Amino acid sequence: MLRQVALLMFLAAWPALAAAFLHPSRPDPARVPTVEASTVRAWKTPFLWVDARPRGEFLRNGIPGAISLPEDDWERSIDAFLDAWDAGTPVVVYCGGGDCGTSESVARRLRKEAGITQIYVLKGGVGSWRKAP
Amino acid sequence: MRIFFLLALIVGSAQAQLVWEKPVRNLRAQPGDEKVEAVFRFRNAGAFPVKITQVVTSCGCTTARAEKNLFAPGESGEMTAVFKIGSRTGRQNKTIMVHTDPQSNTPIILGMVTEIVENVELDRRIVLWSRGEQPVAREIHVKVLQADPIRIVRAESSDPRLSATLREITSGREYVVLVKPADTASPLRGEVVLTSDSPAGSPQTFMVRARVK
Amino acid sequence: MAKSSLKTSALTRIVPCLRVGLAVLFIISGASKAWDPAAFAGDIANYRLTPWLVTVAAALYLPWLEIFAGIGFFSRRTREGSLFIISALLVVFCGALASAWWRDLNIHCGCFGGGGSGVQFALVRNVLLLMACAFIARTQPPRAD
Repeated sequence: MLRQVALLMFLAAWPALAAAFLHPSRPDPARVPTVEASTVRAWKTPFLWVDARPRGEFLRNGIPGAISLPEDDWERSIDAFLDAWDAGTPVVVYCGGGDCGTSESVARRLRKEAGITQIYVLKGGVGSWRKAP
Repeated sequence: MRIFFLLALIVGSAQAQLVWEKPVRNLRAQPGDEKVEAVFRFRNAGAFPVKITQVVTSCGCTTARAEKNLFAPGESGEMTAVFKIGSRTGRQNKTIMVHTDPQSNTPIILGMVTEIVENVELDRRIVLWSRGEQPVAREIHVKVLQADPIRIVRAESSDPRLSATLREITSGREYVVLVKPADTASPLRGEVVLTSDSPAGSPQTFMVRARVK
Repeated sequence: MAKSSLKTSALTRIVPCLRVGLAVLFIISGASKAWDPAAFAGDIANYRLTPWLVTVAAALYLPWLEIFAGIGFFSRRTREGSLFIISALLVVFCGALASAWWRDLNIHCGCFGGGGSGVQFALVRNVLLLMACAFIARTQPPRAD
């Protein structure tokens, strides 16, 4: 039976490898996973919001409890993030919404520099959070 | 007469378009560059004048403007976009949305994909310990990515409770920095600054933040 | 004697049907996820159980494993191996679903790509499928290699 299992696993590996390089909708290992606002709303365990927008926008309508961490102001803002974040706490980064890549950029940087593994980008940005049921 | 005018408007709108030579630009920023610039060339391929009414960038770090706003049919123009790098690293995707009057059939979105080349890479810039946790040393791996060697000559800690030991793996190429708090009984907020020997006179430094919380 | 032959006859009919049903289900399930591995990766990430790199690898590999395990049911040479793989996958899926239910995660199961049913329904369904696998395993004599 083990031979059969090994054979099937081996056969499955080839199209999977092909998909890793050729599939038009292949997941990008470098990307940060996105998460829907409705999913985040239902999370029971604590997590930390990070606002990747310019500071003015954060002050105007940031999600309560969020930490402002715009890439333009990284060196000045990262200390506040480190004060607020505890190791193991998931982080959700948001920006203005749509195709804004700023939250992806900030999330990747946090993942790389701080080694945060449980990090997500809010799909649809801050607007989707306000609309989510 | 009115119908003819309306028809002309409709036809004009359908034909109003700026045709861009290269709407997505791939750029590279070398270490030390403060900004990158891209020039987007276009031509009014429609039968009516087109006015650029608004340019919206995806980030405050990017600005874009055309030499003027109104382009006659057949006229060419240029939009210059500038991306200020700041402390960013890695691949950066910035978009520029161009609004025109008449509106084009599809939104005009220009892209700047910038690869920010680092000359020295640190695998971590932030190290953390929880209070009460064993104060084991955290390793920071430093690699020199450019062709010319860069020596890391010093690793200095800002806090006497935080030690930083520099170990050379390959001179000018690879180093390991061991960062360790004396204890994790109380909170600590420190930095370790790595000093290089390049460029001479104004050597690059790299900061690692350390926290006990 | 009569009862025994009736029972054998019923089993002879039920087990192949279960096998075909499982095979078709897993082929469809695998194909729907192989169609859009990026979306499947997003569904896996919602469980918050694995780092992103592991998630990406799983999103690329698991759908094809399901497809080949399903196809393997149609050949005597790979039937046992298919049953083992499908049972193992169901155990893993049940574990993930149970974990999501425990943590009250409001997510789609990701069972058929692009979302899918809620966690509780998927868990009950997978437990039933696992019971079907156990039934097949118990009633089929092992093939002599």
